[in-house]
Amino acid sequence: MLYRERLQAVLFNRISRCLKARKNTTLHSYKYENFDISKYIETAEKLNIEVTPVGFGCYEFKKGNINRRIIYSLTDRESALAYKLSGNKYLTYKILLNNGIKNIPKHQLYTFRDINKTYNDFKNWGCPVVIKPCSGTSCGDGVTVNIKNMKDLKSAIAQSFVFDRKYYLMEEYIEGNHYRIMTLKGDFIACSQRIPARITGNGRDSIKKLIEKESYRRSIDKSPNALYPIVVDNETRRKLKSLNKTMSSVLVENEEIYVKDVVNIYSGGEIRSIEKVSEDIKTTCKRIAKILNIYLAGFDIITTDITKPLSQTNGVINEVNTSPGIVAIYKVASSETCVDAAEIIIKDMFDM
Amino acid sequence: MLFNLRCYRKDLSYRVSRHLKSLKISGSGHNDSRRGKYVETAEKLNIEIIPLGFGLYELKKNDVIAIGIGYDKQNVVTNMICKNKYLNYKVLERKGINCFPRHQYYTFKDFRKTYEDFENWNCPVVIKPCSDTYGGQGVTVNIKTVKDLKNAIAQSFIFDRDGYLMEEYIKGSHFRVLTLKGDFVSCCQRVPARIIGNGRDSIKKLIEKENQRRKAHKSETILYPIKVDNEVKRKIRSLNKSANSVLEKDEEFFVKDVVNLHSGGEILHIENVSEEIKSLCKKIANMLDIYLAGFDIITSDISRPFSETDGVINEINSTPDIDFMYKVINHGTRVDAIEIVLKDVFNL
Repeated sequence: MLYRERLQAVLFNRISRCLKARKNTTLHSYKYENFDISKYIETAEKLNIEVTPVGFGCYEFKKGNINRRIIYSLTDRESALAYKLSGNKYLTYKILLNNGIKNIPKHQLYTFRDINKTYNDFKNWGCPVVIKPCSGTSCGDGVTVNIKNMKDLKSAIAQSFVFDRKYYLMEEYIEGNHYRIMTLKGDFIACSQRIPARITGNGRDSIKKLIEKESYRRSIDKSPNALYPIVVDNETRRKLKSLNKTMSSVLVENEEIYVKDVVNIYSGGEIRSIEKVSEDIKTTCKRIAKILNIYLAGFDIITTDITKPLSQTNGVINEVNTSPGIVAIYKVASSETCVDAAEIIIKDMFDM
Repeated sequence: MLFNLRCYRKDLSYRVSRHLKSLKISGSGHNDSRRGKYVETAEKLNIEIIPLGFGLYELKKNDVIAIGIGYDKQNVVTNMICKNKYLNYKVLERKGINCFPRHQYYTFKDFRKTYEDFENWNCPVVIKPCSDTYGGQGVTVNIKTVKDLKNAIAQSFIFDRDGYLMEEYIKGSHFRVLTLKGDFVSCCQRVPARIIGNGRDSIKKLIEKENQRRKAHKSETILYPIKVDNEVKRKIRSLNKSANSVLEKDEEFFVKDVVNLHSGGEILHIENVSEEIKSLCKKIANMLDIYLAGFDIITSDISRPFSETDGVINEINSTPDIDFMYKVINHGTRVDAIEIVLKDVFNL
């Protein structure tokens, strides 16, 4: 009993620390929605569609007799179910399993009461894991990946508590490249590879200095596809520790290191557009979009090679986003061409 | 001036903390009856039903998969608009529909403006949180004094931390019209919690007796117990009575102004609905593209059009409770709404 109380005290301590840290991290989702809606409005004006703001993030699009509304980054073709599911990862997994789609990671749902069970399961599984809040998160908030020891597990659970006060998911951590596939009504639009934040050494500067330099370069870049600055947080330190480096170690010239495990453009990740995608993966995505009745879907896929079917590479569908931001498609390096997703979506909404 | 503002704030925060405390005691969920009803109806129609947790179901028949009832037919933007009462009014008013009560939106920064407006309007008002409420939570009706107004604002703060709506209080009976894809399904009258005197017992005793009767009764039309809260106390006071006053025999006494099943209200099935009201509901449902819509209507007589009775549409729900249709007192007349919806989903 005493042991359990102490465990809880430790947990609460960690939670209060995470709550404090949250203040700095919540800004991302606002940026994200602004970019989306401004992209939609820009495209609509190009296509001679009248746009009027109604308030509370809602915009009305009008052309001829057709009236459409967009609220935040959600279009009115999306079903309420899709929105409900987008907030709940466990439910999505469950529905996919019920319908015979097996390419999802091993996972388990816990409430904050059975923390001890999580510890036991973690030992039994014997592999690196991911902790994510079951619902109520966006842009990878509260997700901790590649957890290998008990200490990290504890602080990961505390971190997920900030975003969902009831449930969290433990998943197997899967190595591989991260891809995002976007579909509209089940039809493939675009695929992009998501790369974690990285820096390249020059033989003189410390890691801290390199990150600062890179972030500064990005923050003064005013082009539309400018990347977000690299965010330094607990995860960065954990990652560096696992590479046997500290913030002050100096990198050899042209040595490239990833400073994060989480792939997230808001914490400094990069996007690369991908042309060739396996037909097998495309049809799987189409089937899922049909089952969940999603208009605009974003599939997060982890696999070693996207040109091969998931069954060959042991890849998984890690997440189905039912209200994906289109921002990620536009943030590719300037040398590559990107698909104009906003135009495709607006044209589809007005049947053009 | 500054001191005054600080006082207001302190007062507000004190009232909020009091309400938060009272909320802990009164919060409770009643979901069991609904579950039973859905499963029963689905089995009657030979639809496979699998519970998913988190209040959702997966329904399957002949390769048609539906998740939740009516959820996947509903459009999310409409859902979000209907959740926000002010946005809902605003969107429809832009389309030229003016059957709403007079209303004004305030953020918590300008609550002093509310006091001024309250005095200018010079009529009883309703305070409701702008969004994020369910089942009439945080709504205070028939506010006549500034003191009650302050309490009401504090109460709405618990449910929506951004803003609240002040509306004119409209007298009349409360009705709920349910439409499916714009077509009329059924209409119910919602009666506030009431007790009937017997010439011996006090109001307090009568409420207790009624609650015991409701608890002991185990049928599907079972009503929720009458909740005794600030509102009941206020209502009793406004009628110059106290909790210990004795009611005369057969004296009907409404203990609440808020019409809400969850706080002890009753439901009556209504047959006769004006065609004009039906077509107005259809127009709104089509305009917002609502699959299953619940319209809250306040009017003195629902068999006559709004132009004659000065009735209003008080609220539009895009995710209405269907199960309360099964709680009607005049039992034989009810409409099997869940069956109608399921038949539409699976094209039966």
